[in-house]
Amino acid sequence: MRRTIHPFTVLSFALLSFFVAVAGRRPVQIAMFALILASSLLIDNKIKFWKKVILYILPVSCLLVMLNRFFGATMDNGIDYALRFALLVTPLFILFYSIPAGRMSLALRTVNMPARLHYLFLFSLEMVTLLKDILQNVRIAQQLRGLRFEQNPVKRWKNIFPMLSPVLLIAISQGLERSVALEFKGIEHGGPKTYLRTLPLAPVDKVLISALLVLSCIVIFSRLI
Amino acid sequence: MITFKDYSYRYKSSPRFALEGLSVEIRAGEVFSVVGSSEAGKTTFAYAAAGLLAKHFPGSKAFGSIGLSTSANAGDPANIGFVFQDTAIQLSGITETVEEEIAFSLEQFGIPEAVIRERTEEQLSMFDMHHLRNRHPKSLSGGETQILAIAAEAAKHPRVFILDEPTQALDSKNIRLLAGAIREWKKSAAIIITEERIDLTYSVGDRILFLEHGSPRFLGSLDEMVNSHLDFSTLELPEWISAQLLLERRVVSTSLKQSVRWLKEYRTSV
Amino acid sequence: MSKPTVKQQFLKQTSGASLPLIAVGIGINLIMGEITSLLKIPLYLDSVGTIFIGVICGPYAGLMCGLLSNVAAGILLNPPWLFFAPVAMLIGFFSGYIASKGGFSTITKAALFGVLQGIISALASAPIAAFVFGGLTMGGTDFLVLYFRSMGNNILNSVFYQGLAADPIDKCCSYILVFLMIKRLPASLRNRLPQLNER
Repeated sequence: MRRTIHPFTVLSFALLSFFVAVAGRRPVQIAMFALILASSLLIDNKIKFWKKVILYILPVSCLLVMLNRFFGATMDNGIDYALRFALLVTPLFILFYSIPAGRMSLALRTVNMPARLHYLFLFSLEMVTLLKDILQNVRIAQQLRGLRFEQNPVKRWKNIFPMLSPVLLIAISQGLERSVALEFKGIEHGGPKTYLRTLPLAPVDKVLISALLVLSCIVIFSRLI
Repeated sequence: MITFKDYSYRYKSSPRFALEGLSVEIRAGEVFSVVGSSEAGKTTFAYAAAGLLAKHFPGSKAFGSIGLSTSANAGDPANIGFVFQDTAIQLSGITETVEEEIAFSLEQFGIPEAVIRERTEEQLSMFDMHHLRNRHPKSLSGGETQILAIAAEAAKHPRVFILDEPTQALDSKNIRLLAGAIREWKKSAAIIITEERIDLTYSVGDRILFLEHGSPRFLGSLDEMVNSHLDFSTLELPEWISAQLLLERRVVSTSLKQSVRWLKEYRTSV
Repeated sequence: MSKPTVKQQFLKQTSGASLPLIAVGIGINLIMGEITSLLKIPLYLDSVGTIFIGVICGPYAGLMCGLLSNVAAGILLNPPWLFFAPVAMLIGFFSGYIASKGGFSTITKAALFGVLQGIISALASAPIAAFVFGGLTMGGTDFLVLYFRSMGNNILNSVFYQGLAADPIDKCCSYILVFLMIKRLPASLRNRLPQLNER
């Protein structure tokens, strides 16, 4: 049975990659990148991740090497840029493709993140979907009222208002009503919260996180020495 | 529990009063209905009773006073349940199941875990929602969403429970469930309902305040209202009575004024 | 009465009515891309929501809006957005601060401060774009970076010049848009918006 990785373990892994990108020596950087690619075997969205690697990470890395060479820098310089880019950006895909927002929010409860910020983080993701729905309805309504999109540049700029204004007004109006409703939800209530569902760290997660943080420190100190 | 004394309220930039000259006392153990057409001031009354106006509508003018009973901790949001007209904005928007949504505010108020679980089950039973327990709140119908919002507030066991037009999206089955729930709640709380169609007022209302353009026109029981000579033509009959009249082919309009004699007939026959 | 501390101001501006409004700002940022591509407008305008929240809720609310916008964009659109969170936070804070000092009282002032905001954004984003992405953010203006590099500039300067060419126009238009949006708000909503009501 495959164990689900704790979000903080993945975060620590990403942090190690960041430190290696910034302060690691080249062999360590190459090994780290290989480890990141290997760790993709543990995530569910493997295909999505590898698509990103093949269509984004690798081409940009190659471009960085070639362009630096083209503009007179050494090959080494180009490889430095490419490895740094790969090590900084690739772990983020691991992070976001392996951990749904809901699971991250459960993990954040474990570290007593303020309820307001916790709510804001999750609700902002929800708000994007809500606004997209509102925008869709506004677009249809405005087109039925005669708004045309393919026009001269001045008209295109003016078209922002009939599109954005209704969306903004509806969103602000709902937002203000929601703020009243939130008062009764207790989000701003001081005092301890009781969470029925959290995501505590298992012993293996604690060991892994400790090891990753120690490795990060070693990477930094080895660069300083 | 809540006492309005010569209370008037005008929103900033509004030329007229939303509420004017209101003097009324709402007691624990009663269901107080506020009825009227749209723009009568029902929602403003609900907001005023919940203590929301000063904080959320800055710059508006209030005259007179509203007293909240300190013994009931009536000013504390943990002790006030408020159900809004637009129930979509009432849900937290961040929970993944109906069960979590009901438990949400209890978690935020730091209620002990065992009590949260007990109250969640209680609400699921009260509103017959066991089959919806693991459904995502976004997947619910309008009526189910409204019931969920009500259950989530009811789980707090509030001392003051204000429901602003709670039956808009509800079918007759859910209106009956809600009426039953209100009969339970009123044993330990003051219940305030605002309505235009007098579904709950008819079934469970103890006293009725009829508002017209923010001014109180009538305060008394439903029987007194039905027997009075005042014009209640802006109010609508309960849905089930309208349906009954339709079946009997007797309905001309659902307005209360024209249907008063039918309402009297149904009141005496029940 | 003593001036409120930074912590008090932060707590005030990120609670109450501001909380769902910050979420609205984040949503506006993320749908602006759809609006600009629908209307074929050659600008990002992806900070309109942050600037709007900075003006109506205060600089600290703008800061939070900027931060969480980039986190949300990272989760929903493309993870590299996360690296530009400091720039977005700066935009939110600056717009709120400027608004509190009367920078949004006329359209001319808003336009000028928008240009200034653009210059500051270009300065702030250049090191990030250069260090993390080597100047290649795969956006529409990468060709400008290559152009400036072909003129003998290093990566950092090239990215900065590219930012100077694009950001002031983008932010100026964003500031003007926010100014006009706020002007069009009905009184019933304006009266309830935290910072607008205090001024």
